[in-house]
Amino acid sequence: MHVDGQFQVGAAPAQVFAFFSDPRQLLDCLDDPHTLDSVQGDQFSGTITTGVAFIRGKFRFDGQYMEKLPGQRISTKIRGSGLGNAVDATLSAALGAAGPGTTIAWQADITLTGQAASLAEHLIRSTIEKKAAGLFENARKKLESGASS
Amino acid sequence: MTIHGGIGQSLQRKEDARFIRGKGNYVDDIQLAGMLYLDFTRSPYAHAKITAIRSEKALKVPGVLAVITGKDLDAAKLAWMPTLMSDTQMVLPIDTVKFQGQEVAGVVAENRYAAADGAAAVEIDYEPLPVVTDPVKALQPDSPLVRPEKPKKSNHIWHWEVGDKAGTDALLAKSDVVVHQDFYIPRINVSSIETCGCVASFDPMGRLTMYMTTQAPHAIRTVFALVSGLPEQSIRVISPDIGGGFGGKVPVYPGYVVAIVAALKTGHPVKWVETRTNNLMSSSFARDYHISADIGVTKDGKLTGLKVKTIADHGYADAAANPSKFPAGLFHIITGSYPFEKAFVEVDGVYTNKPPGGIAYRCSFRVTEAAYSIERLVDEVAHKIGMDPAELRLKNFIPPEAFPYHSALGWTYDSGNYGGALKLAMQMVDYPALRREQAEKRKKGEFMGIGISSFTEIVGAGPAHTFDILGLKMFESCEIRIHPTGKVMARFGTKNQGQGHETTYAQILATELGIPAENISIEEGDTDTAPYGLGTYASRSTPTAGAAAVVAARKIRDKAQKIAAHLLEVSPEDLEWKDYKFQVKGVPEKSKTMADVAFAAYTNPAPGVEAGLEAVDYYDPPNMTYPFGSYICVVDIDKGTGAIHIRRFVAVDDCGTVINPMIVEGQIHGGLTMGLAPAMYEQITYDEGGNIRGSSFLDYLVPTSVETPHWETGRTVTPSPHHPIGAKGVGESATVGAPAAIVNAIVDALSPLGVTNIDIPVYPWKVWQILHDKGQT
Repeated sequence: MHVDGQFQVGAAPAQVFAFFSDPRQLLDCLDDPHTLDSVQGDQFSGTITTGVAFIRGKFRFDGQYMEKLPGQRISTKIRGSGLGNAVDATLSAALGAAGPGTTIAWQADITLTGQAASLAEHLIRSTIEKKAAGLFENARKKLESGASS
Repeated sequence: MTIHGGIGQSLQRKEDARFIRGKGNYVDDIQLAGMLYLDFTRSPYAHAKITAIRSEKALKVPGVLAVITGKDLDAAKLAWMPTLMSDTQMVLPIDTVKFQGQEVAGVVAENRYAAADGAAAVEIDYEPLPVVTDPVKALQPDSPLVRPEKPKKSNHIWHWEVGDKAGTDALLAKSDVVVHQDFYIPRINVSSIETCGCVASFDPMGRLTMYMTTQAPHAIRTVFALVSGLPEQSIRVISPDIGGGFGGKVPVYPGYVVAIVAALKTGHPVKWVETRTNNLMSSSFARDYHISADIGVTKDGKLTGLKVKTIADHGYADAAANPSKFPAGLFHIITGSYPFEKAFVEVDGVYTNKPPGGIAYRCSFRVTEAAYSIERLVDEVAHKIGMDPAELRLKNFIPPEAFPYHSALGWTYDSGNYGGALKLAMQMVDYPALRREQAEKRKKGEFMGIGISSFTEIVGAGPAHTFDILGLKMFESCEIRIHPTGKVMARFGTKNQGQGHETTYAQILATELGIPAENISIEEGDTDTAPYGLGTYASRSTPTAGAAAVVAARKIRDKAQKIAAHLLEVSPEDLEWKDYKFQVKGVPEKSKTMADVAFAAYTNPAPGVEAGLEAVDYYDPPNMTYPFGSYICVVDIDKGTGAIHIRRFVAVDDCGTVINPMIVEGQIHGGLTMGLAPAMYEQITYDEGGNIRGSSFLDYLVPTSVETPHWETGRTVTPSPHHPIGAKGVGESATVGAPAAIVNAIVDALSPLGVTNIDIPVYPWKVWQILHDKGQT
């Protein structure tokens, strides 16, 4: 499944890049309860408690930054599993200067297998779109409020 | 004179007294002291390598006692088990998962909630592998291999063929018209009200009792003995009340085996009951046949030859529940009700990344697939040559005088009167008036369709010379004990799952023994007490166990006649069995009832006759029985939405001698609804990643009473000449016959637009798309 979007944020590209390069900052943009259990270089792992419809529970995930071009582009690969589900996701964001701020064009390619993919097929796209939009909206707020520093 | 509750009476079902009061005793009602619960961690991937299984967190969940993996089972050589078709399937995987939802680790806990929490806490690392869910793609050389350990290094499992290929080709070549049609009969699930489950319990002496949802308790016991090495006498299988089987409770599932291992490991009884989603995702499926057929006909409407090529998708293991000799079941009944001069059928079994199986969902081993194909083809022929479908059938039917009829594909049909059934159905529905109405509606641009299905079933497996499962000959058994007070206990090797055996077997025995049905108790499903039998599926109970009941009862009558002669002080030859008692010939007032004889058998046995009044029979049927019927469906199609309204559905069935008309009526109603289901609602599909679509009743559409039309039923009676009372079996006829009638009606309605086929299930959106494409909406 592919979802994408674009938004502008009132923060410089370098600041945005730094924000997204830090898994702590990135995960704190999630509305769902989560933990970050380890960060080692470009690799990180943790848990997130989330769900689709009535399939809810804790997912374990491992992430790795695949591409880091300061001020331009950043991408992450995440593999997670839990509750009879597995998710493989590639998240990427292209950054572009827009006056004093930054334009962020993001995209996510997500492969979901397991019970959620079977049972909640009709709800997954809208749920993922909603969660992705929430994540980036939270990121924008943090960046603009200076909470990212 | 009649006997109360004898054959032919609509006796109310004895078992309903407990069912309607909620007093049934199902597997999940079994509660044993110290009982534990089993749940499974399942694979999210359709195909993946397992790189690690970590149980530590699961074992910390309060109440969790054990985690069982494939490696644990492998140490005991139990990681794999044989299927009924001599293939192998995993109990739990050691290193690779083969379908989404596959059981990977079993978690045993003090309650089912802890077991579920524990299953969620097992951590498993996977490396995804390429997935193939399409059997046609699976046969391509570059397809991922589903079973790379097989020496063949191919997803092709087996090839099976029957008939005269060259002769059929020659006949088709000289036929005036050859109609070709491809059909896909989708994968479906039987969706019994009760899912599968068991309780495994060892006593202190190491004897295993398995309470389980099985349609074949004795065969399962033998399989357990062979797989586990436990002495067979140390295994007791009890199949309590079952909430529907329909073929889905014939196979051995991993849950059964892991429950036994868990009971051994923990020293406690262990219960496993699958959820609805587990059942839809991983229990044995039905159908999934890709059929390509050619049928020949002369220009004046005489059917000539039939050639059929089929790809059978078996998932990752061939775990079909077929007789050993027939990997494609009895699919070669596909010549149906017609005397084809030549026919040829070939079937190829294929592995894919789907759950294993290939069970007979309320049909006798792939007969639904066969009946659907031939009845759809015959309608297509009628449309092609411009002949009325009823006229074409009546012109071609095997005539009554041709029975016993030897089909081009090797079957010997016992009896039939196909024209009689179709003519009755046509009369009930007023066929000529419907065709006139249809013509008028077509002039107005309305879409009304009339569909016929004149199917032939093949049930009662089966004669020992041809039929076995894992080498076990498919006989059936009955043991009768008449107690001193004239009351009867009869036990059978079959197992009731809703068919009404407690009633119909009692009716057979009432007629044969002259003892009212209320004085006859029927028991099945306990291997410690019932005689060995192959179980209930494929409409075999009445043709086989029903016959065993008759033969055993007649053995008792033979002995009873000697005792009655002793009581009446005459020679046995001076007696006759008349009006349900032994009468002195010519002196009917001198008589003894079976109850009189029973008392004497224990208190005053005849000289030279051993005490007691019991008999057992293991009945080996000389042939299959061939029930049949003609169904006519009338549909109206809404041009705006594509909605299909079944206005009328007339079903005329012939199952030979009818034991209980009310029960037969109920079987037909249920069967028709289960035939409606695949025609218009049910299917399980998979996406390219192997994710199942249809793992809950939100997506898997089981028709309810709202969707089910009013069924109108009729009956003809053509007894089986080789069955002791002429009965044939009826449980599955309607499921076999209904889909083609419905789809023929829909295609007939749309035939003015050039429509020749719509793959089932025929959803309104498919019809709307056709109407839209043809400018009709």
